[in-house]
Amino acid sequence: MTREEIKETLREMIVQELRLEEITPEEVGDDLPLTGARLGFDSIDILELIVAIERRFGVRIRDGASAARALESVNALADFVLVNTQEKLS
Amino acid sequence: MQNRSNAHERRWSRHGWNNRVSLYLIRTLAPRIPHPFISLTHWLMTAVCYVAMGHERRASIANLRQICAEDGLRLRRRSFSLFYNFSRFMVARMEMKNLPEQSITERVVNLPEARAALERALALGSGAVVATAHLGNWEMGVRLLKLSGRKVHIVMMADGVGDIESEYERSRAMEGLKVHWIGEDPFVGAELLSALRDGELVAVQADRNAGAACVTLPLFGAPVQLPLGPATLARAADVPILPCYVLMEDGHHLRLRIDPPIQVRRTSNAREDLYQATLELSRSIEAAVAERPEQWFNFYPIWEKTCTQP
Repeated sequence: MTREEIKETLREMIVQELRLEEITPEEVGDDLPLTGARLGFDSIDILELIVAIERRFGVRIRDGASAARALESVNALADFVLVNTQEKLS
Repeated sequence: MQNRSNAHERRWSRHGWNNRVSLYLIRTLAPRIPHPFISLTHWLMTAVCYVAMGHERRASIANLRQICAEDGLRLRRRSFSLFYNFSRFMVARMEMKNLPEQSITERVVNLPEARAALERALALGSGAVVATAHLGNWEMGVRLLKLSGRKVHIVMMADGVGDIESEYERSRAMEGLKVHWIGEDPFVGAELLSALRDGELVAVQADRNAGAACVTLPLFGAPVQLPLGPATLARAADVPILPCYVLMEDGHHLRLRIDPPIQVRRTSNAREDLYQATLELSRSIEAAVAERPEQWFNFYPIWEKTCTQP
């Protein structure tokens, strides 16, 4: 998967997994903070998202600090997925 | 079925007596009271609080009426017993941190059976979400979990009573327990998921909605909102939920009630999986509370609120 494809998948996952009704995948900007005021995800949302991402991409988010870095935005998530899937392949 | 809750407008703990001075007085005066006068002191303190705390008294009566379907003097006596037991709980809570492990285990009347039940449950998964309620001496239960030899995390709801929370957190840290506050850090779930995968225990109080995702379920015949967090966490980590309660017996004695572990299903319908597990947990809470209704420390109207749509 290319970086753009990963980002597209992530945007769809965010909207679908968290059942966001007032926002479309296209509206989830690349740098939009996932825990910021616009999306405002709480700890259970973040947990559900982590599980979905781990299952979809076969990666593992190991602790709160890694989660905070990876789930900063769609861009940060895509980087996390790319780095960790490449590490698994190498 | 799953909803976002409205924030709790008024937490019962936000009353003038819940402050550091009260805790200090309990901690310093309670150990100095001669043994024959302990019950009398509890009774006097209870009488003062019962008269002075009208909101809490009325709420406890309404809650107990729903649970026990009683009225009149019998209900009042039960409500008074709730305040009396809370006085016992607070004193035990304060003296707990100075107690050696042996003194704690000696208080448990069914320790071998409880230990065996805990070990059986932990054999099912890497870690476990230990679900309890504000029932009996739940704080002592957390310390007893350490007997499993595993690291114990506690998930707490930030109460907005900052100095009290920091006091309790310091005391729990001294006991080697790690406290996580819900609502402050959205990544707390990731931290707990990691702990469960490492075989550690996460203790939660599953009888009050923490202001995040919740579900409305019947409890004693009326709808109440219960948190989906315990089931969400257990499903994510693929570990069981272990319902565990510490009931207060006569004197200092305690009895552990450990219900069968709840396995959260992992089908394609996550909503239904979480609902079923939380329903099962609500039945366990109901049965445990029914055993000791006057030890379920809720001093606000439980059945007043329902979940609201997001």
